[in-house]
Amino acid sequence: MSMRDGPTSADGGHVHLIFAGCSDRGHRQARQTAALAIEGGAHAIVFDSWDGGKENLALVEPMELVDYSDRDRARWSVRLEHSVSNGRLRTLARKWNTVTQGYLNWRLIRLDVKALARETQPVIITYCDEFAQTAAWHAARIWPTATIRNGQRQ
Amino acid sequence: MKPNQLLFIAFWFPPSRASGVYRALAVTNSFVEAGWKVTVVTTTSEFLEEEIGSIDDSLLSAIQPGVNVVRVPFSFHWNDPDLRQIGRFRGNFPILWKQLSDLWLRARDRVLGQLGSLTPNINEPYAAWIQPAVDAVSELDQQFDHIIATGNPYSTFEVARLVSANRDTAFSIDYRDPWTIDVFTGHRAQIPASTEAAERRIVDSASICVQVNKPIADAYRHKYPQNARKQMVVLNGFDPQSVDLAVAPYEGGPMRFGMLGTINDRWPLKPIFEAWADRRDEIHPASQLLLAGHLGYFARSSDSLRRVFPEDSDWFSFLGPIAKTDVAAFYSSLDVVIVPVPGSQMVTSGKIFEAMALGLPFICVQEEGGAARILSQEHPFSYGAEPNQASVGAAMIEAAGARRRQTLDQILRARAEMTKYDRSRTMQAMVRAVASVVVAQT
Repeated sequence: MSMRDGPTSADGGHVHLIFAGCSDRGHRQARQTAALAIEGGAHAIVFDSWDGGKENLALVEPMELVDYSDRDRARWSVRLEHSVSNGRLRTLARKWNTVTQGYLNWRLIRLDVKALARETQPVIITYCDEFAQTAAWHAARIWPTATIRNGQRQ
Repeated sequence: MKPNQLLFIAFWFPPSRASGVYRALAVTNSFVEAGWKVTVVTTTSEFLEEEIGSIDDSLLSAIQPGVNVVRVPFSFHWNDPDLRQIGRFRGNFPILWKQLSDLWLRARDRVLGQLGSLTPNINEPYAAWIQPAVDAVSELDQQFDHIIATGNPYSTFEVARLVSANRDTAFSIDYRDPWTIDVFTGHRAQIPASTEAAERRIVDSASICVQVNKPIADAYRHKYPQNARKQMVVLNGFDPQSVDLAVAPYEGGPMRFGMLGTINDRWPLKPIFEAWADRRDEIHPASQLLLAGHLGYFARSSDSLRRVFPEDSDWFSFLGPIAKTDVAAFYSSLDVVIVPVPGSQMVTSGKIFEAMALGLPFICVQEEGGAARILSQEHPFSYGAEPNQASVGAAMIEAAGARRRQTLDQILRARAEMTKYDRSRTMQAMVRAVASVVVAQT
């Protein structure tokens, strides 16, 4: 779903915004964090670009999931990394993707996040891997009073 | 006469199940048995549960009555950057920023480290625990006769040094692993020169530096020749409760080979699985290989470790974690024990002492010249193997043969000979050394 569909906290519970990032670990952590947030009466909104486990995340209801893995995979440098046969070029593309992933992922979701800013005020923002830290940094500027948490070791 | 008072700084302590806990427990209990009053400063259960992700409550019962445990909170999140305080470049490219920052620190170390002008600084995540721990001790209304810190984490050493300076009480340090020496290569570890300066300052101030084996003690004697006399060895030894089992000779039928421990990615598991698949039929076609233990020290480690296991089958089973109280029962179900040990010259592994104490044949899988292999050579039923399929396979056949021939008398004799490695005996050397420091100061 897209955030433009209208993420709300209609039940009156607080909103917990979770950036899962794109790693296995981040995805798992996001799932746990969302489940705990929901158990605590919060409304969880998760941005996730991990490719391969959406079923698991989707099982955590009533979480709202923004899956941008398709958009992430469509980036030219990601396609280059996975299509090029030259080993050196592939390594270069992988390194480039590693250091730019967080920023470029933010570019993919920033409109959704900014749309969210018009509608809700998250109380907690959690980032679940190092790639998700960039989105959390921007979110911290959008919502200056939200508590920012590093979910990587929770 | 009033009992001596020991302050023991042990970050990993029950209910933690970190590998260092057993030695910390042994130190605590040995001092209590020697008549000391012991106060342990450690971290909280909340941290272990929420951030490490695993605890073993059964270990709490192993703490001797009367031990005062002071729990000082810690969180890895204390080291998290405040995202609202970091700049645009770091905010947008945290990984690149970290890589550049590390490069800068290494370059600075190369220059300033050679000049020897670095300010001592402990560069590890647990360093944030130092001041809270020192503050917690300052609130204790007690006089201590001696302070011991066990590491890792080595921030505990700094806690001991600072408390020692505040209270004018001597301290000793117990290295469960070398800090600034790479345990696998014996060379200088990849640590900042400022951390090495911190270690030097601590060693200069300490009364005794305890090491777990002679190669590590020798390496530290070489590193700090002016403090060579402070180095002593206290072997890990085994916990008698873990080997308290009724032994019997082989009675025929399929054999059970087994491994137990906190499984980590440095264990040479692949050649063991390959050798077992290859040679099992020669031992007995229905024989089984059992693996038991926690998968890694952190809850998050388990998935990657499990990937190297064969599927559970008629020849292999992964039993998962085994409570400390059930360790002897596990061993009693085995015919041959396998002890995988990574690294070489400086790595002994606590599990080797358990294997030696059982009296059963055991295979120590480690590189030639490894400390565990050298140590275990004195055992009559020890079989060393290189971490490759052929060597492990040959050792499996030899160990199985030895098990078939072993008499009850031979098992009992081997067990009796190895009681010298009973942890309560090995730890006495530390108690005596610390007591002599206390006597010398009074």
